[in-house]
Amino acid sequence: MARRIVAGERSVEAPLLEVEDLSTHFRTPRGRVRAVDGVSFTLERGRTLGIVGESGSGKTVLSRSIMGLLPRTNVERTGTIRYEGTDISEYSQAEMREVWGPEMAMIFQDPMTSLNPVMKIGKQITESLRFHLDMPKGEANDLAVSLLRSVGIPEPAKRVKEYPHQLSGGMRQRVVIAIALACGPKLLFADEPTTALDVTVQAQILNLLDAQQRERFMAMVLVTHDLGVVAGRAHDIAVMYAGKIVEKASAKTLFASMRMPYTEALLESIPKLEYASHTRLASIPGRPPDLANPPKGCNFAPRCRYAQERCLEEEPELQAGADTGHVFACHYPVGTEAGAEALARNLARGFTPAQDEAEVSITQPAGSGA
Amino acid sequence: MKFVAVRLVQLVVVLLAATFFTYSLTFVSNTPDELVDKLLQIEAGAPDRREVIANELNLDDPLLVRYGKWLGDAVTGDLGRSYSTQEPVADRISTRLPRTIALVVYAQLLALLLAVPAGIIAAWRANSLVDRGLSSTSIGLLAIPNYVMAVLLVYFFAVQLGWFPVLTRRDLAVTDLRSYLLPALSLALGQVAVYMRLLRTDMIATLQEDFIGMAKAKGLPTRSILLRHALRPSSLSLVTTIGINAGAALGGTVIIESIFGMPGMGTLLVDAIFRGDVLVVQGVVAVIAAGFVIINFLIDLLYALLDPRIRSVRTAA
Amino acid sequence: MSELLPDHREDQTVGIPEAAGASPGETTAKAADDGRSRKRRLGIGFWLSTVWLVIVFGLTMLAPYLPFVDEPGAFPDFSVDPAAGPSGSHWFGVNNNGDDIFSQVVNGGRTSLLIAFAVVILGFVSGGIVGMVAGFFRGRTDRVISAIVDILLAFPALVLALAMIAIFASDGSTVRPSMPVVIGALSILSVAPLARITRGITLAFAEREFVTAARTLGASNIRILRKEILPNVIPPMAVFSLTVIAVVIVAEGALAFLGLSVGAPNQTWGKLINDGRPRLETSPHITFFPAGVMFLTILALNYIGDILQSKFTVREGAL
Repeated sequence: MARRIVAGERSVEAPLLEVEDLSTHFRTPRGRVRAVDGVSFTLERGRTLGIVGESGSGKTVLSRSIMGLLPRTNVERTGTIRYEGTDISEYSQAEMREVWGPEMAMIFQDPMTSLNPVMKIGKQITESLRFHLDMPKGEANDLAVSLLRSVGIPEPAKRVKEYPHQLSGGMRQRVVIAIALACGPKLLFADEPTTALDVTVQAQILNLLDAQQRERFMAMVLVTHDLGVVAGRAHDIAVMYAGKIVEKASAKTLFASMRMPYTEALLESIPKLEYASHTRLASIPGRPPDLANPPKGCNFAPRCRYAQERCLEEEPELQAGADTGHVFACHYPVGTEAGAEALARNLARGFTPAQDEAEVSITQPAGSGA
Repeated sequence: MKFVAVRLVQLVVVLLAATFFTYSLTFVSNTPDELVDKLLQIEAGAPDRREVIANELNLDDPLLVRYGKWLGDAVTGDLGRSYSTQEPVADRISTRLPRTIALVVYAQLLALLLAVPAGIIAAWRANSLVDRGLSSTSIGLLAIPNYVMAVLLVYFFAVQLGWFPVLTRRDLAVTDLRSYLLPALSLALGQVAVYMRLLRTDMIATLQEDFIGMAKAKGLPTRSILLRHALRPSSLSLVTTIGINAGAALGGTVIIESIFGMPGMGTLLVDAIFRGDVLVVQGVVAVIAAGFVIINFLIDLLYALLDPRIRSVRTAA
Repeated sequence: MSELLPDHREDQTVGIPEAAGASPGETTAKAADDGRSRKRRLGIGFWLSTVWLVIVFGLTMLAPYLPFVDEPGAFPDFSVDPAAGPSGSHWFGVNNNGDDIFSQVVNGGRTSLLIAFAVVILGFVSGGIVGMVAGFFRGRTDRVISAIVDILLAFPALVLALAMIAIFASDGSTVRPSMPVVIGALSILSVAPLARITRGITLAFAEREFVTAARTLGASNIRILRKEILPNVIPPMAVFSLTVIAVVIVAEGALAFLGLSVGAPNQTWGKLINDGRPRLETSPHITFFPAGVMFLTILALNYIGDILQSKFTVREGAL
């Protein structure tokens, strides 16, 4: 099938990807689970957006929702998704199939299971080339070899004929990347691309993604639980909690003047070199909320050390911060007077309104003591 | 290698046990005299044949020796004489064996032809109306014994519609597909249910795997994903079950052949039983047992070749 | 708990890689798959099947006392045309001898079911004992028993049954086995599979603590087998017996089709179906009614057996 241009008004001025009020709800026997609850953002060509959150925050469901890779039954997706100005929210699977590959691509977390174990690597790459771009076999094979080379796999001509189990984890992820990039997509979703890999390999893969992105002028959505991963590599960062985006800013702004207590806690949980050895690792106590029964008020309140009574009652709206593009949702934000007061009050009491005295006492922000 | 040898020994034991079992049953339930009487009757022969028959069957020897002699002859291809037709048992078997094998093979092919697409569709559209319909149908099919199915098929397609013969010819050729269709279908439909469910289960599991999601995210068409990506990893249980079933299906052929009047091993056996033609019964049991043993052995070999892990799991179980 | 929630670890620390789990969407699909929904309620199919089985069981067992069921060998009704099919006085019609088919089906069911029950009981007693011994004592006993059982299992059952019946029942040129012979042959065939199942269940239980506890209290092996193992083995076996009954009904039917099951005046479903074959064109009801009743009974047995079995294994897991 020859490459078909996505019909409709494709505008070069419009942002590459616009997501407006996207929600994905699952109907389960336990009730309606709001995995993604009203997410909006915009992504320009060639930019990287990092989406950060714990497991259960909805970040994986988010990327799959945008791609349209959700299961068919018991799922409700609402909201608008615009790609290059065209509304693709109502696209059927058949229409999306033309988008997947040449326009949008995705790489999954675990390279071990992302590759078909009984199919040769070369075939897995040439499959999409021949289907989407109508390439003849020989040309497709050559392209596959050069793709493998460009992702840093040595002896690509030999590897093309091999099976996934003959490669190491890092190599496999490179192959996965090659497959995803084969048809030259403009947008890449990388869902925890390095989580399943050795630490030493992680940086390599991230660098590879960086390089490919720059070369192809490709936009990338980098989904991870690790703020450290997006620190040097994303232009903008969105922090997700319980299905919502709770803070979004350019990377610089986020690290310099974060407002959400959750973001602060995330940052603190990354161990730093300066800590004395045996410093206890800070963790966020408690668990993410039950997405079928979210609490009244702010979702993070039960675990937030700044929480006040208002947080338990009223859900905070996204408000704009000082810098452009910075939004956050908090009643008592970090780095503001209101926030500082709230924290002080809680520290004095020894607990927050979300807990009672019997429970865990709140942890001090790092750097203020052992 | 050791595993293979052990299995081989086990199977040979099965063979010997089965043949010995039938042999001793025959010769134990009648005194030698009674037996000769009966056989004389079948032969409709003169009384002076008594000596001949007694000699043939080595009735003077103790049971084990008799069995040993029979076994020795059997291995060289001499299964004795059929008292009703005076032909060598081996000849009678060899004309009929191909027909029975053909029946089994056709039945399995038909079953797969129906079950594989059904299984794929059921897995792809799991829990949809189509899937539930297929599942209900398969539960229903499983509850119909193959002989009842045969009668049903005969009623609709042979009696009412006249598309197929009710009974096959006496000189049925292996290539006479028209005559084979209804019998093979009767055997196949029960298998379809089993195979379909197996494939469906495995495929549902495979479709959850990440690499299928990847294939989808590559924008590949559904048909390609199902057939080229999902089918192969899901077929393991199915393939091994086919092997096991082919062996067990030998039992089903007996009935089906009777119903359709097919001149195969099954009818030979039943006929011999009714007439009391003991050596034929013995011979048929031996051949069926041997076939069983061989098929099982090949399956186990296949298992071990395909996946060394399976080998150790099986011996542990 | 819901598979949509993340790994519940006591301290939800950020920075620890999350488990490589499928996205929530995929696991929802998994949860919707039959295994779980079956666990929840006994659907209408279950109750329909039970009702059917009660009806069949009731009618067949009470047959001699029911006024509307003719005795086997009762005087036929010649006034009705066999080709006519069901009517008010003959609910399933008559066959070409004038016998009322409904009565025949009921009586046939009685025989078929009695044979099935007898085989199940005999098979369970013998196969069960063998299996329990093998599973409980393990070691050499187990190996020997298992080897024999495997050999028996390795053979196509029907062929063996035919051979046995032929040998024990033949009296010259006609073969008409008596009930005991048929029951005997089928029972022998059922020993092996039942032994295997019992062995499996026994193995699972023999390891449990309450057995060890009983042993430390000084209980003898026999006592343990009787008081600890047996009560636990019986329920799953009872459930399994439903399936076995269905299998035996089918097997006996197969024998009847070959003319190798019990003879007149006893009827069995298999025999009735077979008897109707010559008249299939003109009077299909002769075959179809017994076939239909047999089919529904097997269906009901299989269905209930399946559902109960899945309930049982789930409960085992929870233990």
